[in-house]
Amino acid sequence: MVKQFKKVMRSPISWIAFTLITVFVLCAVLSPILAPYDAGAQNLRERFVPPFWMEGGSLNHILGTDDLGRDILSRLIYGSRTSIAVGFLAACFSGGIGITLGLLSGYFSKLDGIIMRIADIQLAFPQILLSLSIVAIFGGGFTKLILVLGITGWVSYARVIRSEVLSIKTSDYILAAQTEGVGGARILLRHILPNIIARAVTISTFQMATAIITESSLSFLGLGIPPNVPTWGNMLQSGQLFVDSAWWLSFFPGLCIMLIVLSINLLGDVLRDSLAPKTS
Amino acid sequence: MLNYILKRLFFSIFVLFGVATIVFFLVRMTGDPVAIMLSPDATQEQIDQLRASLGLDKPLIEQYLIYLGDLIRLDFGRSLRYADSAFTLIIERLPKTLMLAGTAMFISLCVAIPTGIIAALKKGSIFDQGIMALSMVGQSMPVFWIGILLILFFAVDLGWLPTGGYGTVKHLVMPAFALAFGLIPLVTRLLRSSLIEVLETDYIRTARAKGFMPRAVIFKHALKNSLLPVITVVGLQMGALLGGSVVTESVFAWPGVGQMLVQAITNRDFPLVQAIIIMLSAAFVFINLLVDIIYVFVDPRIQY
Repeated sequence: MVKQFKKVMRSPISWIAFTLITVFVLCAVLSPILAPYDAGAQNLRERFVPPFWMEGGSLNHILGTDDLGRDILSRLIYGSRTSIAVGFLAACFSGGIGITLGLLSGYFSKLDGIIMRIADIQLAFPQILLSLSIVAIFGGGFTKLILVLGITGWVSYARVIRSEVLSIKTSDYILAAQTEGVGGARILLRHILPNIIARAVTISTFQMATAIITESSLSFLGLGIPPNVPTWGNMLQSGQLFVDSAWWLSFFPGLCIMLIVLSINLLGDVLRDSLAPKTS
Repeated sequence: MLNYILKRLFFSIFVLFGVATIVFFLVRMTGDPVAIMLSPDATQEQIDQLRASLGLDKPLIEQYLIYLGDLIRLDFGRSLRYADSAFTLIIERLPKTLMLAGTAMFISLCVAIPTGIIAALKKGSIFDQGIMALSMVGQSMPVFWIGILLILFFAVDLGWLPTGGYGTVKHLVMPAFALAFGLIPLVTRLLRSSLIEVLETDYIRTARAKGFMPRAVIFKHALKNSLLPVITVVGLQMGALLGGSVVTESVFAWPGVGQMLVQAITNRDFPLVQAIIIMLSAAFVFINLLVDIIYVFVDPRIQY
């Protein structure tokens, strides 16, 4: 693991990605300290103040204010909390389901048919559509979103893990363990799981990026996190109404989404390349 | 071969049946759908009335069978808000969504295929690296933000295109490009890597050694095979396009099925939501079936 980490960090791209991710995580953890204003603090006398470099802007509000006079920068900093928490927890949750089902499906051929058919049916639903239909029925909100994204994201883990297990299963050391009478659960957890963790980590980076985009899309449509919580998707939704007069309301939240998704994707790419023996 | 197609057809029907079943039970899992549909201060009489009119007073299994029977006859129930058949409402709007998704697909192929080929042929060059970096950035941009950026630039700043709506070709340009934006990087990267792989194979080396024109080698020999994975992904991505159209249509006020879905969810118009989800999935399953069948004709190696 340490060796692999060193290999990953050799690329300058991963340095950029790591720095960006660290900045966003720090923003999320330290938002009350870093944010110059309270995210919900309204000031109707200072509505639509543009960013500081534009005419009428001031250094009091570096990135300007929105339609209720709330400080954009502060809201962006608080917004990183939702994106990172939703992305991380959703990736963990879908990873938990996907890895378990992938292991079972790959190892026990009796379960394989059922699990893979369910996966096929689920793939017949585009993820955003599936998330929308679940949200339509159960409603939005933080916890429900994580559950929705977890349930909709497991397939990509399960499929990859399954095919990995299928190939590991036939290797000599597994056969040796089986002949010695080691039970299925023990083989899966002790002998197979450690070999697939690296792959699972790679998938989880892409899954996290997808979860962040889906969450912000749902919030943008008004179906995700309640509008009173400052999230990037919510900011874009209300900002779109003023797109012809105050571009900064919708530009910066989107930029944040792009930057965090980009850095997670970059990290995932580097991880994948350095873990795949074929390309390195 | 007919056997294979029949097998795929059967699987598609099975998937649709699964989708319909999941939707049916999801809607009922929340408890009483009627309670969600009506406002909280509805009287017991109103609740009973709506429940009877929707057939919700019958046992669950009977409801399920009636529901399946209705689906086979393309009866998707009535929208609560528009008081019209959900099927008619969707059919009215479906061409607009398909037009948007189709145009987006066309744009992305027009952009991605040439760039993918050039990137593969000039592997490692500045052009290739630039394309790869750009596609990485493009893939990380949420579609609604691209839409807003397009509106900011082309509608607000330049005033060339309308901010949204439906009618002329001008209305189509921005939503189609916004939707295509997500697909272009994907197809470019895929075609690039698949073409690079094919170009390293023996038969390409043989063709080159025989002294064919480089252009003929690429277009007649290599491209054919490297387009195969692209076909698969394009088919799968039609689903993402249909899903993406939900967001894009909302950004550009494009009166398609996606926009109607979001409105139906906000209005708690459950029969309509249910119908749209089933019909969009059906469209997606059908497209995938088509791709599978096309594949049989394009790739003689396929086993059936």
